[in-house]
Amino acid sequence: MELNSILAELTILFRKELARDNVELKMEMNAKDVDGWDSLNHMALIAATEKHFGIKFTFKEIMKMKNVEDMCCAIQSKLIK
Amino acid sequence: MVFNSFEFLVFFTIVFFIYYTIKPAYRWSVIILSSSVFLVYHVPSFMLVLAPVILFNYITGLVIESSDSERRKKTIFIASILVNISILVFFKYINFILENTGFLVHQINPELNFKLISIILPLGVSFYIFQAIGYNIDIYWETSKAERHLGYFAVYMMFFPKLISGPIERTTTFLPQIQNPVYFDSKKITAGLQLILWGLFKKLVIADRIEPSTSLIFNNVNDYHGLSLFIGVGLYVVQIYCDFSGYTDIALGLARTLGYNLTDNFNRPFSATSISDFWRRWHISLSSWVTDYIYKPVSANKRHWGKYGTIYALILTFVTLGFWHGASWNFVIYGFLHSLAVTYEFLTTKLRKHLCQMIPRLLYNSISRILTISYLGFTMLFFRYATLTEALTAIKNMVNNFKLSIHGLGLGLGVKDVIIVVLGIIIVEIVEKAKAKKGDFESVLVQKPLWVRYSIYYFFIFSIMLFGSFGVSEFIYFKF
Repeated sequence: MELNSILAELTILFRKELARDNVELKMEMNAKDVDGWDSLNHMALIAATEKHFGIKFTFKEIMKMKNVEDMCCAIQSKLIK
Repeated sequence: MVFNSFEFLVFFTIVFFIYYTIKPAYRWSVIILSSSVFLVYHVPSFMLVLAPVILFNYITGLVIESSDSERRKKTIFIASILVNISILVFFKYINFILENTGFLVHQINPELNFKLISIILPLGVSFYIFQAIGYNIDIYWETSKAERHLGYFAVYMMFFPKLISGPIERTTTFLPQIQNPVYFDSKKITAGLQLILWGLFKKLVIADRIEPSTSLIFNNVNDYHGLSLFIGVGLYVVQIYCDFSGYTDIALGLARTLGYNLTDNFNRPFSATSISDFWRRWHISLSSWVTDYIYKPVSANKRHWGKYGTIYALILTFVTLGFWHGASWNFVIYGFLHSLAVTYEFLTTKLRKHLCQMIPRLLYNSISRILTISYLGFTMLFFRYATLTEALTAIKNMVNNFKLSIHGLGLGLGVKDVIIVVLGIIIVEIVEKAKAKKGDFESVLVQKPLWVRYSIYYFFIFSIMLFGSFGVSEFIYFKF
C-alpha cells in the first residue's frame, strides 16, 4: 500500500476518532499540529489504527513514532509483512 | 552550600575562572571536579552513592546498546531499572515501608516491633536516579544512543547547577550539548547572569518574605481557622512557586554562564485553565518525565482497554509523581487527587468544549483558572503537611469559624511585607508573561535599549538588597 493512500485512510480515521471534520493530516505533522490530538487520546488513536488496518504495533514501534510519517511507515511495513 | 549563600558565590567564581582558563575540549573535567566538590561539601559520603550510580548506568547503557540478542538486552534493561529503583527505595522509602509494614505486623502480633533505620537522604538522589532511569529507557527504546565517554556521561548525571533539585535532564537534549566543546560567549554569560538575578529576586524578595508567615500558619494547625488558612494556602502556593521557579532560574542561569541550556521547569502555571494544563506548566521536567516513561508505556500496554486503559495509566502516573516527592501517604494522596482531576477532565473533554462555546471565552477561562487554582490550593494542603491528620485538621478548620474579616488573621505579615509581596507578584506576572511571549528571559531584554536594560538590572539588584530576606534559607525542593 502506498504511503499517500495510508495517509488518506489515516486522515479519515482521525477525523472520526477525534470528532473533528477539519483534520487534514500531513506527513511532517505531530500531535502538537492537530487540534484535539493529545497524550490522553494518543493511545486510543493507535488502537483504532491497529483495528482499522488489522495490524498490531510492538511497544518499541509505538515509542519510536514521532510524527505522522513514522506512523504511516510503520503501518506500511506491517502491511507488507 | 545553597545557591543564595556566600560560600556558593566564592565556589562558583573560582569554578568560572578555572573553567574558562583551560582548553574548551577539556572543560567537562572542570564540571566533574567542581560537581564533586559541591556534593562532598554537603556530606562527603553522598559521593559514595553518586559515583557507583554513574559507573553502573554508564556500563548498563553500553551493554543494552551493544547486546545482539533481544532477550539479553531486555534482561540488562530490567536489571538496570530495578537496581536504580532499589537505590531510591533504600534511601528514600525504606523507613516508610518499615513503618507501614511494622504497623500491619503490630496489628497481628502486638509484641513485634520494627525498628526504623537511621539514614540520610543523599542530596539530589530523586533527581539523578530518574535521569539514570530515563537514560536506560531511551537506549532500550532505541530513541537515543549510549554515551561512550565516561566523562561526558558523568557531566550528564552530576552537573552541579541541576544536581540537587533538577531540572531532570533528558539524553536527547542535554548529552549533545556536553559532547561539543564550550567556548567563551559573553552573550550566554550575560543571559545567565540575568536569569540568576531574576531567580534571586523571586527567592529572596517574595518566597523568603512569605516563608515565616506560612511556617507560622502551617506549624500551628490548631490555632488557625477560616480565612487565615485560606490566605495561608494562597501564600504557600505563591511561596512554593517563587521558591522553586527562583531556584530553577538560578540553576538555568548558572548553567548558561557555563555554556549549557537546561530545561525550563515553569511556564506561567497559574494561567492554567485545567489541572492537565497546570502539569504542562509546572515542574515540566518531572511531568514530562512521568508522561514519557510511565504514562505512555502503561497506556500503550493497556490501549485495548479503551478509556479504562487511559484512566488506569493516569492514576498510576500521578500517584507515582506524588510519591516521588517524599515517603508519606500525604504525597500519595496529593498525586491521587491530581489524577482524579485529570481523569475528570479527560472524561468531560467534549462536554467542556460545548460549554466553552456557549459562554464568552474570557468568562469561561477566568472561571476555569479560579477553579484550577482553588483545587491546586486544596491539594497543596496534603503536599505541605507531613501527616494526614494535620491536613484533615486544616481542611476542617478552613470551614469552621469562617469569618470574612481581616481583623485578627494573625498571618505574621506586616503592612510593608504585604506591599512588597503584592508588588513582587505583579512584577513576576509581568515578567513571566513577557518571557512566555518572547520564548525566553534573554529575548525579553535583548531588544531593549541599553539604558532600559541597566535600569531593570539596578531595579532588581536594589530590590534584592533593600527588600530581600537574607539569612540563607534552603530551597523547598532540596528536601525531595
